[in-house]
Formats: sequence, structure tokens, C-alpha cells
Amino acid sequence: MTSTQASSPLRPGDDVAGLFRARYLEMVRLAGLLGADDPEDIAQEAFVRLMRKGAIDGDPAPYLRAIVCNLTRNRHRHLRVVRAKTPSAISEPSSEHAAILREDHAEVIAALAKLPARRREAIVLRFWLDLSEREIAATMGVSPGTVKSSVSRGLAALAQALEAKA
Amino acid sequence: MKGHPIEDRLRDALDAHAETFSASPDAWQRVQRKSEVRGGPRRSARAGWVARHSAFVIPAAAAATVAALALGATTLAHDFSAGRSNAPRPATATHAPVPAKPDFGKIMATDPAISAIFGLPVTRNITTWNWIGQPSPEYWFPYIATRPEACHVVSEPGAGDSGSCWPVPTLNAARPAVVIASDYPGQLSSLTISGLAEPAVTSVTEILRDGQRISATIGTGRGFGLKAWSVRCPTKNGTKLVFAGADGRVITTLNTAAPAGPIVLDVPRPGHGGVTMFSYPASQLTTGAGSVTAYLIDQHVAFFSSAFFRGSGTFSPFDASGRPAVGGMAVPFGYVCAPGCRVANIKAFGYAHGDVPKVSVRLPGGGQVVANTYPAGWPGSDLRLWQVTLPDSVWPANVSQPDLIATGETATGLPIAQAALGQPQM
Repeated sequence: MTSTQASSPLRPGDDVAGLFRARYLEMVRLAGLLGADDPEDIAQEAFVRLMRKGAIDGDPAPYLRAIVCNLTRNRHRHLRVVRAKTPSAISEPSSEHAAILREDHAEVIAALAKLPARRREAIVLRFWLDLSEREIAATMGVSPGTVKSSVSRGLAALAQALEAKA
Repeated sequence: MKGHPIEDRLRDALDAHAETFSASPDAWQRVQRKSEVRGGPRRSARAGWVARHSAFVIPAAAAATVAALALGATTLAHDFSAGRSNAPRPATATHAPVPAKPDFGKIMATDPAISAIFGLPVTRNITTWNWIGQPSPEYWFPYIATRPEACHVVSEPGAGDSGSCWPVPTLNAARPAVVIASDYPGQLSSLTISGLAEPAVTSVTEILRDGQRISATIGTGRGFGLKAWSVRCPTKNGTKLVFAGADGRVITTLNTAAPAGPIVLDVPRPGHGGVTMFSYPASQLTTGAGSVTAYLIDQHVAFFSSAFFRGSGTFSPFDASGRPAVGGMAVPFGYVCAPGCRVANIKAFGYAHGDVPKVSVRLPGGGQVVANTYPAGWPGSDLRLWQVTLPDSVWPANVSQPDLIATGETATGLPIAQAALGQPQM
């Protein structure tokens, strides 16, 4: 459980600056775990959209998470094409990350990166944010059954990939 | 909450990986600026903009492709001396309205406009922005960087943006229209084809296989000189673009049965005489598995790839008739994330004169790799070809083009020619 996850939930009426302080890093990290090439840009865009949307009934965190997931997914699709023209866009803090991560963690993250986007989202939301199937379903815009299936298949694929490495 | 080995490992790895992402101190100010640029709360669903500055960087290798191709034909047929005015003038577009102009970020910094910047509303959500940009030495080789570039950005809310600048092509009666880019923002089932046309062109229509016609948006702005046009169409069903004048007369057509653009293709791929040098698997840098084939065209060795740029890709034609006796390029064909992302499957390849049996490539960190050359077999030519795979480490993630030197050697290892890879020898 990270410190950002432990932050108290924001409620309607909280100011956006307060929401930003409480949730920004979590959104950056969520985008990063989902494989965004520029997690901060994704997180900032999520807050900009929230500001433009105005009032939200209930906790705004699910809305932010959903935007981050959608933007990251769309970004992946886009990059597949853009990189063909602009590979320099891939400059990422890769070496830094690789150096920071322990080898076994790196293997897990590498295996996670190979999962289809939806399964990766379900896995990250389940095991990093500890969201319930229902919460994940709301974030991803799918049914709880689909979430259950995505998590299960994702875990199986990860286990298989990691066993093959061992 | 632990209890399953794989889940435990996963949680630990996710936590550790998450810790590597941090927040910039000025993040909140950046959010505020972005929000202000868009005029506060959303009034309509059409105003969204996701700035993707990093997406506009063109690698030197890819730039070389276009730069070399465009060199021969790129001259200014129009007056671009209107100064660096960014003042927009409404485009003579066939669709309206045009959304607010976005922040173009890095591409505008490197290719600042010397014409008006005008938007073409392609669909309800997609807008292309067009301008003539100053030469960009950051992306182009110095001799190309003296020429203005036709810049365009495709903006689609939720899908990010893509853009590029290419040397302004020469348009005339024989060649009244060109495709300058194909963009696939957000999805691969359809694409936005953009291009330029002579001022006499007043309408552009994409004809689909089933006979359906899709009108392109066409317009221009002060100092642009040419017409810019863009059309959104299905990826697989296009057949041709029809360019017509005010009187309805068809001025020209461009075939779009195969994915069009995005490069300025002045040299058609020959129908024969190709030497397939090597193949590569599909990756995020390519649009599928493919191969690189070399041709001899008017004493130029031209390298074509079937998978770059949607099948119409050309790397670079090298003038192989004179010095240096060796030349070539280094191009990454792969992309891996484990977990950091970097290019991979880096191939160095090129030509050599008949008296060069070996080519060595000096690596930036020391050491070298050696390739034996082989006869290309082109009639009347003793030119040879070579290729070698380079270690991934020669191309760090933050480097757009590594410093690689190819040296042509005699059989005894005596160096007789040298050239920097990735820079066309013109």
C-alpha cells in the first residue's frame, strides 16, 4: 500500500487544489503502472478534464482513475502509430527505472507490460489500488464478470511468464 | 493482504515500480495553465486537447529518409517571405466551425510558423492544423534545414495528437497534389490523410471501394501559398483521391488503395531489380513484419522498406556514383519494454564500392562490428551491399541518433573510405 493510496478520499465540495494534492501522485503512478510514456501528462490531463467537467456527485477519485485508464489506453494505441514516425518520442526514464527496480520486480513488471491493456488495467487496479471488482468495473466501464475474468487470466499469464523465466 | 505467491510478488513489484514515478514541483501550475488555455469549464465536448509534445520528435534516421528524397525536388514555388506571423486568418475550409487553436508545444518551438496557422475541421472531433514552418535543424540535416517545411498536426480529443513537418514539395501542373501524412489517432481502423495541393484545386474527394465518396476539408491561410487538405477515411477501403478545380474538372488523382504517405515520395519504388537485404519482425516501430530492399536508381542506392510508413516507406537514396565508397544508415526496427522502453533490433546497412569487401562500424562506447559486403548484382554495376545488427546499447533511450561511423576496408583491413551512418552522402 503506497502513501498515496492511504490518502483520505475527497468529497464533493473539496477544492480542486486539495484534490490535486491528495490524488495527483496516485494518478501519476497509476498511469505509470499502466505503461504510459508520460504519466505526468496523463495525470495532469485527468485533472484538467475534471476541472472542466465541474461538479461530480460522490467521490471524484473513480472519475479520475477512469480518465487515466482511458487516456493511457488511447495513448498506447496512438503511440503504436506515432512511433513509426517519431521514435524519439520513446525517450523514457527507462534506465533509471531499471536501475531502481530489483531484478525480480523488473521481471514481474516486464511480464505485466506484455499483458493486453484491459488485463493489465484490471491487475493494477486490483493489486496496486486494492479496488473491489465492482470498483474496477466502474473504472473500466465493464461488468464485474469481465473484471473477474480479466484478473484471473492476467494472473495466469503472469504466472506462466514468470515460471518460464525461472 | 497476502496469501498467494504470485499475488505477493505482483503487489511488491507494483509498489516498487510505483515508487519510481514522482510528481514535478510545478505540476499544479501546469494543470492550471492547461485549464486556462482551454477557457475554463467545458462548454462543449469538442474542445478537448491533449498536448503530446514528445510525439513530434522525428528521429534522424526517419528524417534522413524524407530529407534525402525530398532534396531533389524541394524548391520553393511560392513566396514564404511573409514573416513569422502567427496571426490566424480563417481558412477557406469547406467545413466549420474550427475549434480553438491548441498549444502546439515543441513542434512550434522547433518549426515556428512563417505563415498563418489554420485549422481544418475534418470531422466533428478531428481537426488538422497546418502551417509553413521555419527549417528545423533539430530534426533535419543542415542542408535540408535551410528549407521551409509544411507542418501539420492532427488533433483528436482523447486520442492525443500527432504531427510532423516535411520539406515543402514542389507542386506544379505535372504534380498538382501530394500526400504529406497519414495519421491514425486513437485507432487503426481509420486514418486521416493530409496533403498539399496547388491553389487551383478547390475540392478533394476520397473514393471508397463501395463507391462512397468522402469530401476532404481544404483550405489555406496567409503565407501558406498552397492548399492544405485532410480527409478521414477507413484504412482499408480507400481507392483514390480525386482533386478537382472550381469548374469541377478533375485536375489529378492519387491512388490510396494502399495506405498513403506520409512521406514525400519523389522516387517510385521500381518494379524490379530489388535486392532483399534482411527481414525484421513486427514491432511498435513498424506497421508489421517486413524487409529492407535495395535498388539502384540513377546511380543512387535506395533502400525501401515494406513495413515502415504503411508500406510506402523509403529510407534514403544514396548517390553511390562518387565518393565516399561506403555509405549507409542505422535504423532501429524493434522496441522493447522490460520494464523501461528502448529501441532494439538495430540494423546498420548500406552500400560499398566494388573494392570494399568489408565494412566496420565503430560503436560509440568503443569496439566495432564488421560486415562482409556482397555483390548487389545490378547490371553494369560493381556496387556491393552490407548489413549488420548492432548491439541495442548503441542507441540509448534518450538519443535520437547515435554517432556511428562506417569504414570501408580492403581485404587486409586497410581503411579506404569512411562515412557517418544515418546521414545521406549527397
